[in-house]
Amino acid sequence: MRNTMQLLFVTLGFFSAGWAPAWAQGSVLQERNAEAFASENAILDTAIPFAIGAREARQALRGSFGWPSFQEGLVEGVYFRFDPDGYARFAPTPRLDVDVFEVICRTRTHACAARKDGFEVFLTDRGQLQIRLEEALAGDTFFVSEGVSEIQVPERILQPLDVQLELLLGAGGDLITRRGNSEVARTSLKGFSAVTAYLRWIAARQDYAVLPRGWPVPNAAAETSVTQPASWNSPMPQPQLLAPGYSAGFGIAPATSAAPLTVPSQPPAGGAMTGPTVWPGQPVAISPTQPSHGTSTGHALDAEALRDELADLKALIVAAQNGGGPVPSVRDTAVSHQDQISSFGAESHAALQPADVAKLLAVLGELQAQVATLQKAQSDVAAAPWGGGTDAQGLAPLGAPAAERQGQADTAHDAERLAYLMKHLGYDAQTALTILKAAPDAQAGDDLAGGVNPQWNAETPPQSVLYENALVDQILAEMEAEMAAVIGQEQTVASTEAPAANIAEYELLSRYFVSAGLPALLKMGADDE
Amino acid sequence: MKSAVGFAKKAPIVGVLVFCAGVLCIAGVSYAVSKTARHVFLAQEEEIVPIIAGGALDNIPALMRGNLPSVTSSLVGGEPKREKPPRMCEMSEGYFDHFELGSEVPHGYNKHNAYVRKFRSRRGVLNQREMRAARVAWHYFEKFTQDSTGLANSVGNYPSTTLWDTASYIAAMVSAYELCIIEKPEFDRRITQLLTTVKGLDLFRKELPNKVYHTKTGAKVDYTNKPGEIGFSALDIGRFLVWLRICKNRYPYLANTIDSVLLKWDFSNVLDDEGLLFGAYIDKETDETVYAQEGRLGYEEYAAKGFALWGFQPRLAHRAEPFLTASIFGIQVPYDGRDPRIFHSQNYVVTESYLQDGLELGFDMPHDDSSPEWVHTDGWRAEFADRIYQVQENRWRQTGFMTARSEHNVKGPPYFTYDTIFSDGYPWNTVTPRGDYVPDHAAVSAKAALGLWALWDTEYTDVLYEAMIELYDPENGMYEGLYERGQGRVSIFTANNNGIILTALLHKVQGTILTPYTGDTEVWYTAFRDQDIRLRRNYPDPPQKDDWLPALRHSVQEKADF
Repeated sequence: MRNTMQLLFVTLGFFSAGWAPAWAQGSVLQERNAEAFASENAILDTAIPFAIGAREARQALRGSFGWPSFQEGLVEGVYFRFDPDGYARFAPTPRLDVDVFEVICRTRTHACAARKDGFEVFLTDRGQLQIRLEEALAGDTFFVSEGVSEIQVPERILQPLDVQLELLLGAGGDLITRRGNSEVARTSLKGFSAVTAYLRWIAARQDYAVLPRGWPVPNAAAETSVTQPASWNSPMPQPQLLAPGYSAGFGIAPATSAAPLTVPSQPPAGGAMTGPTVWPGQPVAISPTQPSHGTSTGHALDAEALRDELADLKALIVAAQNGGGPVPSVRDTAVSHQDQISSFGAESHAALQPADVAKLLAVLGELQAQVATLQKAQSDVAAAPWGGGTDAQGLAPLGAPAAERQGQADTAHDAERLAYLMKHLGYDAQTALTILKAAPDAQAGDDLAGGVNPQWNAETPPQSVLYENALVDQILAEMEAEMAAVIGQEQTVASTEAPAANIAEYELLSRYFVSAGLPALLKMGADDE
Repeated sequence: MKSAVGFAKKAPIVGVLVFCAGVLCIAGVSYAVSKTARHVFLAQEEEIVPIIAGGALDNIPALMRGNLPSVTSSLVGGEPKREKPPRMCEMSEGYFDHFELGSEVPHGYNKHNAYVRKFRSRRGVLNQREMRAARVAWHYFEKFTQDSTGLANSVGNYPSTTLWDTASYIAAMVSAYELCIIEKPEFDRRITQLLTTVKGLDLFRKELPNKVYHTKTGAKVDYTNKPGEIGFSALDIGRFLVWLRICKNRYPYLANTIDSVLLKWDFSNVLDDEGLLFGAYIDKETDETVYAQEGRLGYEEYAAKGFALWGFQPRLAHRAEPFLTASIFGIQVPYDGRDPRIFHSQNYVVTESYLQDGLELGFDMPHDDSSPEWVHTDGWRAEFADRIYQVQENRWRQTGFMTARSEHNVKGPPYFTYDTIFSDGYPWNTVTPRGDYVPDHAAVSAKAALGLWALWDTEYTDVLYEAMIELYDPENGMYEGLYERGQGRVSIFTANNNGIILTALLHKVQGTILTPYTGDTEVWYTAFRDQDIRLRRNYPDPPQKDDWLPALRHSVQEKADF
């Protein structure tokens, strides 16, 4: 544990010192023992209580070196003590002797890790929690056990944890690693939530703002910024706001809305996902519990994350353009979608200027051209059943009767059309009926048939409908990328520093898109058909 | 009318005459008695011993009290003082042939509350193995003493020290000289340089030495060895006073130098009127000095005796109360009764303080300079020490764990542990200075093992001896100890460990290290009599019999308590 790390440091020191004689090595060791207490190694002020009831106390030093003080207390059912260098122990007993989380910090840094048996938890560079299990191998399964009940947790617990997994692990119980049917390791999670809060507290330079909701913060009444979720700078996607009246006015959920999102029924396999994932049936409400790394650092990370996401989206669009559809590469559909939401929300914080709108229109025009190309490529596939040995002119008669049919309720006319198809064009009855129902005036056909034809649903590729939604998403993503290029880096950074989503800007952009972009796209789709 | 037999009725004049005669007789007797009494009384008045200036009946003014001799047991009882033993290389061949150890004297308290222990100390010259260990232990100080100041590093080559560890360095010097490892020129050079440096130390707020000093510069530093100040430790100062007294008594030519060191210090806050010891630290917020009671059962009494050797009267600090006992392996182990939850100070029970009392002071009272070696006039201290020894032997016999527990440094975090017999409610509790339980750092302490070996001549301490006597690095000194759970040696070298080991070896040769004072008056008691400095700094007068600390006894455990 801590000794191991110290031994490692010492060993490295030996090698760096070269082949020193044994006595010299002993001297080096002793000096390092004492130098561990150099004032530069102090990263915490033990006078600042970690939680209500914690107290600073003097260490019972007999020798000439050591930390003069420490802090001890009780929080979330575990006792803790920590030194100015960050070294801490969390355990359910006041003696801190069993079931101990031991926190060790790299010398003169705020990089700390907590260990208990073969279980290690630390913060990534992006401030996310990540755990490491010494005994775990590929193919192992993981369970969280609470008494007699246990649930399986996905392998991605070995990746940076999302909020839900963190909450699950923080609820206590045991984390079990199984290989086949045999239990490889079992680690008590008692104290997990407290020790993770401590890790974040250290990383945030003892800022109470990073502590979870409900944390017993001293003098909470006097603190105005104890917990401010809206201002937290998190590498995780932030909760997004819906443009008021958007969905109500159009009866559909916008692609930029997080509200209607649900999760896939199966959690994604594999561990490459770094974004948030939610459990089936859970809303995609992202609770911002990630720590801030100082204001500037947090925004830098956010900007970096946004750039990564935009790059991913760009790749998706390119893949779609080349391969004919969006292909999730590193993230599953839900995550990609969420990321799009997130990045759009972040980018949309910037106020749109008239020049920007003009450029946006230009971009939109280009996108329309691209969409037309894609539509054409897609329609070639979709129209294959329609061809049936005939060219596009073969559809011409369909157009005229359809036009004439408007305003008419005479089913005899349909019968004539059916007869025309069968007699003059040589279709069999079923095909002729299908063509008739799939005609642009399908509504009339539906009316004629008296409802939705299941066969029509089966044979008509759903891509034409889904494609539109996906296409809209792609266009939005492309718009974001272009916007980022147009507005420039400074405005991008400025926009990420905005503490919360600007509803007015959302509204403005959403309405603009509804009024300008979406009708054009719908019209374009209709024209292609 | 006349009757035939005489007068039937007497005249009143007869009665008057009889009355007058009676009065005269009484008056005569009274006169005679009064004359006699007067004669007697007047004769006694004439026999009163005249008050001689400076004599016992003279109510000597404070100005003149420094001239009084310190009253010791030899002065009161008319017994011969103990003699300083010769250096080992100066001992005659048959020095130990007829050496009296009081083996036939039964153990227990005597009527003066002195205690005779169940076991005797080891006595004799050092064999080759012991001499080699002594030389290696001394080599630590040869290697880690700073030429610029004469101070020795507490831990290896890390240049800081405390008064506690500086006392260990003095112990090492005395031992090395008496064991003939060094000769007088080197001893004098070292001790003189050290005392000169200590005299010149910048004190903590002009009171007493700071807790820590930089050994290269002699500057007062904080726990990170950066310039600054922490406070002072009454326990550290107490141990330092013990060794200054040992030096002064053994080497009278150093007396003036030693006295001049102490006459710079201000003792006004380290002892209160009740005789309780106080340390000092700095309030973090106000930067003011805070005085807090310091010391728990074991260390507190040892330090108190250090102050008492210089005339102070730490009456309360020297008492065992309040203490409680915990039954461990059938032994009622005494521990301090002050509640750690209230006083925020742990009650560690370790071997070291009892060893130091036994080795350096012989479990004797500060005023005792005449009792035989096997009689310990500070009786309860010796009796408690017997329990401390016995419980460790019992653990070894009943569990197989070789046990010699003390505070010691360890390799790596937490760097220092209290490896206790009992603390915080638990037996065999190994804790860090902040209270974490770290059983992996439990160890057989080298200084405790060899200290027990010197004071208790038993089969068990033979085992300890075999484990420890070769536990050294010839280039650095004796290792701190041997991990109890098999992790090997505690690869740390400290002044305290090597100093105590040298003391234990010297005790085998010479017995109790403290020898009687052979001079008369001391500068320590006579200086500044013409000023108010003594009053302001709370310098004591030479102790008289009434100033002696009381010799007490506590209930004795007759049999194992399982």
